[in-house]
Amino acid sequence: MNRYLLPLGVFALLVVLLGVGLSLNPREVPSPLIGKPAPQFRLPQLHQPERTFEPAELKGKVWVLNVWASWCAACREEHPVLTNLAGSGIAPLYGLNYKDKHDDAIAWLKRYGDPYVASIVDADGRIGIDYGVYGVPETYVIDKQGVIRYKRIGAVTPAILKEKITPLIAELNRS
Amino acid sequence: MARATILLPPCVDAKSFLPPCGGGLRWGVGFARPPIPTFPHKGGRGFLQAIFLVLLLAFASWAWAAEAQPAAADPALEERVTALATELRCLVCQNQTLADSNAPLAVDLRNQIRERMRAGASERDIIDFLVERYGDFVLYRPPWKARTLLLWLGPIVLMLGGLAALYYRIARRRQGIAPPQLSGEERARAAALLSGDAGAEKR
Repeated sequence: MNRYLLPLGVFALLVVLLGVGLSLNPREVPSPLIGKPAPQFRLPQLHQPERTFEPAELKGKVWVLNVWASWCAACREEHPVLTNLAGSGIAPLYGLNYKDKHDDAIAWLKRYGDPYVASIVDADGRIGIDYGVYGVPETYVIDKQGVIRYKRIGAVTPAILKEKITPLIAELNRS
Repeated sequence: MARATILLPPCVDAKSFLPPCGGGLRWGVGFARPPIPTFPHKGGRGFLQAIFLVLLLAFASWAWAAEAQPAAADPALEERVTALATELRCLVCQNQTLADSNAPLAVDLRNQIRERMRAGASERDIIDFLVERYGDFVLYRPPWKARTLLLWLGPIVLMLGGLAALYYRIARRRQGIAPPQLSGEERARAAALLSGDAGAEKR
C-alpha cells in the first residue's frame, strides 16, 4: 500500500502544478511600470495637431490613458465600455492613438463616437514603448501624483470596469 | 474574460514569403517531355559535349555565391544589434526572439536598440531600458534574484532529490540481499561439500 502512496502523491502534486500553469495567461506580462511615475512626453493631439498634450498637465487629477488604434479589432470591442467610463465622468479619459494613420483614426472616431477628452498621436510607437505597450488596446489608470496605478492589457470588459477600474478611481479620487 | 485579445498585427513568419509548396512544373500538363538523353558516341560531337558537361560540373563549385552583404551601413553595429536582439524576447510573438520576429513591435524595438547603440549606449544600458518597460519577461536569460531562485535552482534540487532517492533505494536493496545466516549444521555441510567429500553428502 505504502509503495503506491508516494508516486500517487508526486502525481497529484504534478497535476496541481500543471493545472495552475494552464490557468495562467502567458499573454499577460505583469507591468514593471505599476507604482512608477507615468513616462513623460509631449505629443500633438489628433484633432488639433498644432496643440500638444503632456501628462504633466493632469497633475492633481486621476485620469485614464487608453492606447488604441483604428486597425485594432479589440478596441472596437471595448469601445462601448470606454464610452460608459467617459460618460460616468469619474475621470477624464485620454486616448493614445498608437501607430495609426491620421485619417483612419479620425474616421474611426467619427464612426463609433469619440469618448476621449483628447487623443494624442504616437505615430511611430515611441511613447508606446515607454509605456511598455505590446498589445493594443491597453489601459492605464494614473493617480493625482502622476503614478501609474493600474494597467490592463487587452480590451476592458464591463466586469473589469465595474470591479477594478471604477473602484480604483473612486479610491484614488478620495485620497 | 478569457477571450483572446487582439494584439498587434500578427507575427509575420519568414516562411510565409516562400511560394506555396507543390507548385513545380509537371510534364504532360502543357509541357512536352524532353527527349531522353542518349549516351554520347565516342569521338562524335556528343563526346565533346560530354566532356564540356563534365568540366562544367567539375567547376560548378566556383560559382558559389558570395555571402549576402548586410543591408546596414555599419555591419559591426548591425552585428551587435542582432547579438543583443537574440537575447531578448519579442513581447508579441512570445516564443521568438526580437531578432527573429517580424512583428511591428519587434522591428520598432530593434530600431530603438540600433539608435541607442549608435548614441553610445552599452548592452547593459539597453537591457535596463527594456526591462524598465517590459519587465524581466523580455530576457531569455532571467536574472538571478529571489523571485527566480526556484527557476534557477529547481533543476538542481530535482536532480539531487532524484539522486538521493536512487541512493536510498539501492542501499535498501543491498540490505535486502545480505548473505543469509547459516546455522552450524548447514555450515558443516557446506564445508564438507567444498572439501570434495562427496561421501559425506550421500550418507
